[in-house]
Amino acid sequence: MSLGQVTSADRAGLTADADPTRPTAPAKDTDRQHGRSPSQIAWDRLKGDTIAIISFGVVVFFVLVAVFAPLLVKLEGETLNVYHSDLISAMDTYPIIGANTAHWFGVEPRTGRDLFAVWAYGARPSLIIGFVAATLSTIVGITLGLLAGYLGGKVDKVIGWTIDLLLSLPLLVVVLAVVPVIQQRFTPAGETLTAEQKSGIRFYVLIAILVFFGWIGLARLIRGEVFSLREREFVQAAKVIGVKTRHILFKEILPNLVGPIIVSASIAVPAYITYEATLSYLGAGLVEPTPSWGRTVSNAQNAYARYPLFLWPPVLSIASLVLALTLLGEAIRDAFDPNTRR
Amino acid sequence: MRGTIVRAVGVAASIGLIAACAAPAKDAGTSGTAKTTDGGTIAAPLDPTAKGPAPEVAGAKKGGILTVSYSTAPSDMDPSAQFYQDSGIIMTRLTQRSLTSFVTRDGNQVLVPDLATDLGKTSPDGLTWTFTLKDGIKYSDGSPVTAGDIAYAVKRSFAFTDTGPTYQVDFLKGAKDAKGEQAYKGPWESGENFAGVDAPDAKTVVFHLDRRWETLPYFAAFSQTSPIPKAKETKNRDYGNKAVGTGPYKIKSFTQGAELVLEKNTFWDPATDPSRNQYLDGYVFKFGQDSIKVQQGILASNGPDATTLSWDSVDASLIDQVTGAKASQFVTGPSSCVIAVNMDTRKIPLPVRKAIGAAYPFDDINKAAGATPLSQTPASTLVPPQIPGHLDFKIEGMTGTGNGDPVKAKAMLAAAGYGPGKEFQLVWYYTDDDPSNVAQQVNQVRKTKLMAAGFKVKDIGVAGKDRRTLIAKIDGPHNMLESPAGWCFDWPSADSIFPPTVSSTQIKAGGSNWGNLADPKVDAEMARIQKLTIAEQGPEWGKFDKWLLETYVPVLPWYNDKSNFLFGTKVHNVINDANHGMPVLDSIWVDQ
Repeated sequence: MSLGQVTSADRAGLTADADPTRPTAPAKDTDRQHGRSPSQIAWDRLKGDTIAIISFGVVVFFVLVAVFAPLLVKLEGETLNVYHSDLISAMDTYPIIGANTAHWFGVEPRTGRDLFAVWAYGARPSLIIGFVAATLSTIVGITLGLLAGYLGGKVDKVIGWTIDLLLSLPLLVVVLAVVPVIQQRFTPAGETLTAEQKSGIRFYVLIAILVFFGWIGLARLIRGEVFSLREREFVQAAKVIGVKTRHILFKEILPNLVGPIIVSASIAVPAYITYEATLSYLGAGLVEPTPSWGRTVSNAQNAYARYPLFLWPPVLSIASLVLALTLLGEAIRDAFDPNTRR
Repeated sequence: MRGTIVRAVGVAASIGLIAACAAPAKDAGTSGTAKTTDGGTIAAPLDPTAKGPAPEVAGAKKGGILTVSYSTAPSDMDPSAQFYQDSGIIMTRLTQRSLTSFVTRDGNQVLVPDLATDLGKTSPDGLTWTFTLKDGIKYSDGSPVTAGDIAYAVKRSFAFTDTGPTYQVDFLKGAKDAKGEQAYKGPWESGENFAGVDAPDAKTVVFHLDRRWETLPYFAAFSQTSPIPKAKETKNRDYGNKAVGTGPYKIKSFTQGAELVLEKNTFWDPATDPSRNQYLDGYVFKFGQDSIKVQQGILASNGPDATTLSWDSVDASLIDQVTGAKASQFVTGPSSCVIAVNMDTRKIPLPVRKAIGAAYPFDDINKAAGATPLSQTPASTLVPPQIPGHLDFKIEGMTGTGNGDPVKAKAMLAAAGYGPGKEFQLVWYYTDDDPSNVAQQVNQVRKTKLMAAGFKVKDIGVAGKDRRTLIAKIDGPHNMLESPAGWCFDWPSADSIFPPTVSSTQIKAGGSNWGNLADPKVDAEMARIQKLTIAEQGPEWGKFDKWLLETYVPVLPWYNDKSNFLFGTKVHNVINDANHGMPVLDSIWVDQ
């Protein structure tokens, strides 16, 4: 399974084969666009795109929930990982209460943990893993793509070969197999980990794995772009007057690639969030007691018939956050698309 | 004797149930009402004169197939190796006959002669037991059964003591060497020359003992005394796949991990069998099923689900239905297991063990585990209520109920010299790969509450498949929640509970001593009680139970397991056998 952004990013950005039937963002005042940088034009377009604004609002909402989770939970009058067993029926281990002012989303069946706290804190790993992994994989992708495209030759071959190798690996299977192995590597000999330590290690392992597999698409895209850019006059001119390679890469070529990079990164974030949820759902992600939406979904599915409130918040949150991020990515892609520029 | 997994049923499985299994005596829910039967103490009566055929079930119809779907799977069907609840009940009720067997009378289990003409005759010194076979018993292939086949089967069971029972090693003559180790390893390794059992003629089986074994007739109901023709066996467990039997049904096909299909055995003669009925045309056992889906299907009872039975614990989400509108499709009752919280007596001082008892959050843990009154009842003793001689007592902090008193526990710890800056550290293993997250959440609840009571906690998460081995190690880093997590009695006498779980000779095996207790005073007391007759032993074991828990606190009794049977609308006469925690399979009948 690919990370999803690979194909999208290939389609996206400055490639020549953009789909003419794709709806274009409204371009009011076309005259003002002349003489402005692609980023400025794109920004203007985004500001006029209602869907982009709404999506942005949704993303900001979840970011705020994650950032202020302790505050929100305090506002509710609760603490994370406090077990309200008194709110659980001993007869069937389901809560004796629904959503109320003390427990906004009710409490978890069996343990009696406050579900609002679980939900609010559960936003954190999703967003942190999504954004950190997207940032890191973008940096790695840009660097390796630039090197492969500009230097060519053996460097290009090695990077190209690595990309092909990584593309050939079935990601999900590799992750399920590798997570426990890496966790074991980080365990000191003869020592054992507590649940909290294990969750901490899993957190970084997830980011590392997503970055390890996530840079490929962007690197391929950048490499292709650099191939054509390096033959352009301004690059040749810089070479002739003796500008350093690093300077050419980062000052001459990179600014021309901002569009595809932003597009690729914005599509990577929802893909990674989905991945974190999927892996936690499958038991290869974060472990108890660290909250994670994916694991809440996994715990809630059998209880759905009796206690639907358990399942809905994480499901709706994952769905709306991923949808918003994807729509935002699409809007950014459209805004940067040269075929919609006039 | 050895800790053996029972059915890995829902809740119990996820918190790591280990126990042994099999035995006779009392009480059952009746089909038609979801009745909970918790019992007083009724001895399993012995009826040495019972004659076949077994009493008919009123209104029973003949024909049809019963499907039994459950979540685990027996590893093999070898009668010599079996010591599990599921394969045990399939063999003893359906495919194999033994020297003795059980019959249900008014909801009670009665031990009756099966292949033998009586329940055995013992010599005046109690060291020789003689059984005489009935005439005309045939295998499912039509060949005759001889006493030599039974002697051979008993010898063969010595080759499977790694997973099977070991009572025969403890009691039979010549089974152990001077050091107390198993010397006779079965006919393939040690030859057929064994002093413990022989067959002087084709109709007589004689057991020779090292010491008195009053409860041998109960052991004679195990499938280890089912005849095995030497000419037809294989020298491994694969024999179970095609084992020739003597019961009312025979194996049509066995696919390990998937399915067992039984069909009628035409050579079974009801006139010789006082214990079993034969109403159905056959049985299909489906292993490794998703229990929630199976149970939802059974409650809906469409098509084949109407003739399906599940013995997995009822999922909490279905409790409303089985106690309400669908109560007629559900039977529950006591099982044979007691589950307890182990504390290593060598590593945790007595006052600290008592403080753990004061702090232990039984109620919260039960809720987090999804345990309900349908799946268990709190235990305050190690001898379950259905065993003769059970003494009903409650020691504070050891009642399997309540939520712990952190303040009191802190005071007890302070009195023992522990407190802030010098906490006592508890170390245990827990399963961290339970896909339902139940084991992990139970662990978190236990950890949080014990830390609130002033303990330092180190919880070591390991894969479920590794945990069973790790908790059985007597020299591991852990000092709590060791194996055995529970014990299921093998017959309704406490001599199938205590010597196996607290005698100092058992500690070296690992994983079967409560609290890794090894104390000469305990050994001496047990030796004294074992010399008494069965009837005299009962009350003595009850007193022993109280004395042990009060004096040593090696475990906190937690709960008595309950059996849950859910069945389709066309299944009738499902009765709980309280000594096995299983349904009496052969007396079930179905509508066509």
